[in-house]
Amino acid sequence: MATVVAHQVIVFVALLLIAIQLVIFLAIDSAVSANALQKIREEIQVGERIFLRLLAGRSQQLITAASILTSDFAFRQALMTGDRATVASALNNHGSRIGAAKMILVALDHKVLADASVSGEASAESLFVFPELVNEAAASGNASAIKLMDGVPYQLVVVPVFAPAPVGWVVLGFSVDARLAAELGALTSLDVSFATWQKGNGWQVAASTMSPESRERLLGVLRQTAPESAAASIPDLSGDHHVASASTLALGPDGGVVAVLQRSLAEAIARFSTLRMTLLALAALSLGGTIIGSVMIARSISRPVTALVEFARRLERGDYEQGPPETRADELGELASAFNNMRLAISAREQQIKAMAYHDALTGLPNRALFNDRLHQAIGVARRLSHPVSVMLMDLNRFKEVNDTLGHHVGDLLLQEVGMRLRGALARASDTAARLGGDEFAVLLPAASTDMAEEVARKILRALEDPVVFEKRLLDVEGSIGVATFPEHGEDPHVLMSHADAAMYHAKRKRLGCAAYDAKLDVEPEIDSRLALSAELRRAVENNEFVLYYQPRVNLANGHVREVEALVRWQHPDRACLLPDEFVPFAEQTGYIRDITHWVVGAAFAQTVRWRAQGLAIAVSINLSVRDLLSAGLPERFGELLQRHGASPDWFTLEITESAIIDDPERVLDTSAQLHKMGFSLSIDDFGTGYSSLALIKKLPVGELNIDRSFVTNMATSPDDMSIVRSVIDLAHNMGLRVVAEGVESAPVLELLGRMGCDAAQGYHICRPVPGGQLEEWLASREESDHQAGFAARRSEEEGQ
Amino acid sequence: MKNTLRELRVRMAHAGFALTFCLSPVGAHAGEIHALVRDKTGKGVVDAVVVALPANRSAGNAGGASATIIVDQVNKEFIPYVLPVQVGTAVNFPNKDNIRHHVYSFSPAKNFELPLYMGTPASPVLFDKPGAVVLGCNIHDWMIAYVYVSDSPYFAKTGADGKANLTELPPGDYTLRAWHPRLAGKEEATERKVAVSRTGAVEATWDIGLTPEFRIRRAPIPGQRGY
Repeated sequence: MATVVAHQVIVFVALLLIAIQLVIFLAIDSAVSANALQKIREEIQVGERIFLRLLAGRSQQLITAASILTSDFAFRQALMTGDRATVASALNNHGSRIGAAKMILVALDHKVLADASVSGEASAESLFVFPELVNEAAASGNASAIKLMDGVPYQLVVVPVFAPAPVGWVVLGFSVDARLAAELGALTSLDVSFATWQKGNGWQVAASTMSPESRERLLGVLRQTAPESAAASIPDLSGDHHVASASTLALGPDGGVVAVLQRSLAEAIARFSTLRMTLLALAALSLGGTIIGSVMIARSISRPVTALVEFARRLERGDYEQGPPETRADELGELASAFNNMRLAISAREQQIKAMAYHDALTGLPNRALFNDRLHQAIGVARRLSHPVSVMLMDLNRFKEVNDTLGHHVGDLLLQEVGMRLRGALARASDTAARLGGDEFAVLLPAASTDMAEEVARKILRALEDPVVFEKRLLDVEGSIGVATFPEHGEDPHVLMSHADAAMYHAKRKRLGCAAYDAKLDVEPEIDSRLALSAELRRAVENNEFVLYYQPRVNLANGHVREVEALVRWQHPDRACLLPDEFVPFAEQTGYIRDITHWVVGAAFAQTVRWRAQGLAIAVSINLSVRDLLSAGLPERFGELLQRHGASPDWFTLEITESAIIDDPERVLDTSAQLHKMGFSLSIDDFGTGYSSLALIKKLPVGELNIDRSFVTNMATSPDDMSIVRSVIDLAHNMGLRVVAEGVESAPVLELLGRMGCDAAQGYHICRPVPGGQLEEWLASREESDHQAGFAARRSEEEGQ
Repeated sequence: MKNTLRELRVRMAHAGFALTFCLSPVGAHAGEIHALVRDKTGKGVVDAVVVALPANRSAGNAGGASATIIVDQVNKEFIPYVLPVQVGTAVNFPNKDNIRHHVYSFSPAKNFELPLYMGTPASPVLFDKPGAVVLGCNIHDWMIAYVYVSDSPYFAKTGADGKANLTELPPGDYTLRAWHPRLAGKEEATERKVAVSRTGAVEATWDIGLTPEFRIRRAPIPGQRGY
C-alpha cells in the first residue's frame, strides 16, 4: 500500500514535471522558431537591400573601371587605328585588365565594330543587340544592366569612348557567375542564386551558392512561376526549407534573370538548436533529478510505513516482543514511537486481561476458566499415561455468616487468607489451587489417587485450623472438601466436578471435613432426568399441576380435629402423583420452590378462607422450605397473599425444618421474627433430625415442635425412640411449646403419645392426606361418630386402629 | 541602377569669343553669302562652320594661307573651340597655362600628337588634308577643340547669333556646306548649291540637328564626379 502511494507520488511528480517542461519547451521552442523565422525574414530583407546595393555599387565600379579603361590613351590610339584586329586585341587586352568577360566596341550608330569575345573577324556591321543600353548611355553618359547573352547572364556596362569627341561605345560584360554569387553571398550572409529564364529553355540556375539539391528545389519552385511574377511569388513558394526573396534583374520577352536570396530555415534554426539541446538536457536533468528525488523521498516514506505496517501486523498476531524497526526524528519517527507506546500499553493490558480472565482478582488464584482448562489438559494427559487425576472442591463453612456479620471486607480478607493457605498446602508445582467463586475453592492434583488426594485434603484442613486474625479478632475457618478421582469417579471433567461437589456436600452435611465421592452418595436422579424434571417442573408451575392435600391432626387432649397440615402433591400428567420428597429438593435447587411455595400458601389461604366461610374453624400448617426462609421479601409476599384472600395469619402455622435453621440461623431468625410479628404461628418441623441447639430454638418465636416421624413411627417397639419422644415432649413442654407427633401409623403409638402428654398427633393411622373436599367429608363423618360414641370410647377406638 | 547613376547633365555652353574671320583674296568683283545656322528650335548655332566650295576648283586660291594661326590653351581650355582653316595652314598650339598639356588628334584629316609640353611648341602643325580634326588633351579629358580644315578658302564660323558671312566670293556656282562639332548626320547632307553673283549677297540658312553635348568642356571641380 505504501509502495502504491510512493508510486503515485513519483508518477504524479514526474507527469507534472514533464507537463511543465513540455509547456516550457514548446513555448520556448515556438518563441525561438518564431524568432528565428522573424529574424530570417529580417535578414532576408536586409540582405536583399544589401544585395541590390552591392549590385548597384558593382555596376558603378564596373562603369568607373570601364571608363578609366576607355580613357586610356593607348587604348584610344589603338581604337583609332581603325584596324579591326588591332581594335579587337586592344579591347581584349584592356577588357581583361578589369576582368571583363565580354568586350564589344559599338559605333555611335550601334554597329558592332569589334567583339573581343568573337575570335576572328566579327560579322560585318551587325548591330549591337541591346540598343536600349546604348541609348541609355547616350542619355546618361553610361549604362549598366544585367542581360542574358547566349543564355548566360552578364552584367553589362556601356561607356563612351572619347577621342576626344565620342567616337563609339565600349560594352564590357562581367560574368554573373558562382564567384559573384559567392562574393555577394558572403557579404549578405545569404544564399545567392542567379536564375535565368529563356523562352523555350525555361528556368535555369546559372549560379548559386547552394548545394545541388537546394538548387534543384529552387528550380522546382521557379518552374511553378512565370518570369514576370517570380520575384513576387518565390517568397511564398519557397516552402519550409527556406525563406527567400527574389529580385528580377532582367526581364525581356525572350529571357530574364532573377536573383534569389535564400536563407535555410534549418540552418537558421540550427543556431537555436544548441539552446534547444540545452533546454532538453536541462529538462531531462531536472526530470531525472526529480524522479530520483521523489523515488528517494517516497522510499524514505514508504519504507518506514511498510515497516510500521509489518509492525502493526505483528501486533495483530499478538507478537508484542519486538518494537518498531527504526527510530527517526521526523513524524514517522513519532508515529513509530506512538506505535511502540501502544504496543507496550496493549501488551500490558493484555497481560492484565489475561490475568483477569484466568485468575481470580481477589486471591490471585486461577479462576474457574483456567481451572477447567487445566483439568481438561490433566485428564488428557492422564488418559494417555493411564494416570489418575484427582479434583477437590472446598467450601468454607459458615462463610456467609462471616460475610454478613463482619462485612464483605473481612470476608474478602478471609478468602485471601484461605487462598494463601491453600496454595501453601500444595507441595507439587503441578497442583493447581483455584477459586471458583464465592467461598468455593478447587484443587487439581494431576497424577494423584484418591488416597493421595485425601491426604492433601487433610493437610489443607490442618492448614485452615489455625484461626485467622483480623483486627485482633480470631476467626475460626472450617472447610468441607469433596474429592473425586479420574477415572474411577468419572471420565468426564463435568462429571468429575459434580461428583466432587456431591462428595463435598456429603462431607459438609456429615461434618466429615473431607469426603471422597461414593456412588451411594448419589441419591439424586441422573442428570438427564434432572434436566427433564427441571423442564417439567417449570411446566408444572406454569400449568398449575399442583394440588394440596390435607392431613388432619388430632388434638390428643380432646380428640378434636381442628388442625390440618397442608401437603403439596404434583399431579404429573404422565406419572403418578408425586410426593414432596420427590420434587421439593430439586425445586429447592432450581429455585422453583419459591413459585411452588407461593402457590401452596395461596391455595392454603384460599381453602382456609372457604372453610371458615363454611363454618369450619380449621387451623392449617404450611411447610416452608429453607430457600423460602432465606429469600428476602417472604413476609411481604405472605402479607400480600393474606390480603388477597382475606385470610387471617392466626389461622396458620408455618413449619420450619430444623435443618433450615442451622444452615443460616441468623436469616431464619430474622424471617421468623417477622412472620411471627405478622401473626403467624411458627413451628419447628422434623425436630430431632437436625443439629439445632436448644439455645437457637429458644431464640425462635415458635410455639410448637413437630417430632420427626423417624422417632414416632416405631416408638411402640423401640424403647430408644420412645425415650427420645418422651424427652422431646418433656423438653418442649418445659420450654412452653406444643408438641405434635407425626408419622402415627398405629394405635399403640397414638395411645403412647396420649399418655406421654403429646399435644397433637398426625399420621396414616388417623387419616391419610386427602384433598380438601374429602377432608370435609372425613370431618363430617368423624363429627358424626363423635356424636355416636363418647370421647373415651372414640379415643380407645382410634388407638386400637 | 539608373537611379544610382549619376545623371550627366549636359550644359550647352557657348564660348563667347570673337569670330575669327578668314580673309579672302580681295577681288574687284566679289559676292557675299550671308549664312544663318539654326538648330531645330530655330536658335542660332554658334561655332558652326559654313564652307562654300566653288564649282570651279581652280577658281580658288589654293596657297593663300600661309600665315600661322594659333589655338591657345588657356585655363585648361582650347581657345577657340572651333577653328576653320584652309588646307595647308599651319597651326601652332601655344600653352598659356603653367602646366603641361598633351595635345593630340586621332582624326584622319590630321593625326598628330604634341607630347607634354609647356610654352609654344617648336613647330606648328600643318593641316594639309581637308576634314574636321578633333583636338584633345591627353591630360585633361574635357579639353576639346576642332580644327575644321577646308579645301575651299571660302568659309566662315557662326557667331553667337548663328550668322556667318562669307565675303569676297568670286561670282560663280558654289556648293555650300554647314558643319558643326555636334552636327547630327553627315556634313554632305548640308550641301546646297548657290550661285554667287558679283554683287549682292546670297542668303543661306540651315536648320541643323545637334547631338547632345557629352561632356562639359571645362575643368571639373575636384570632388565632383563626371566628365
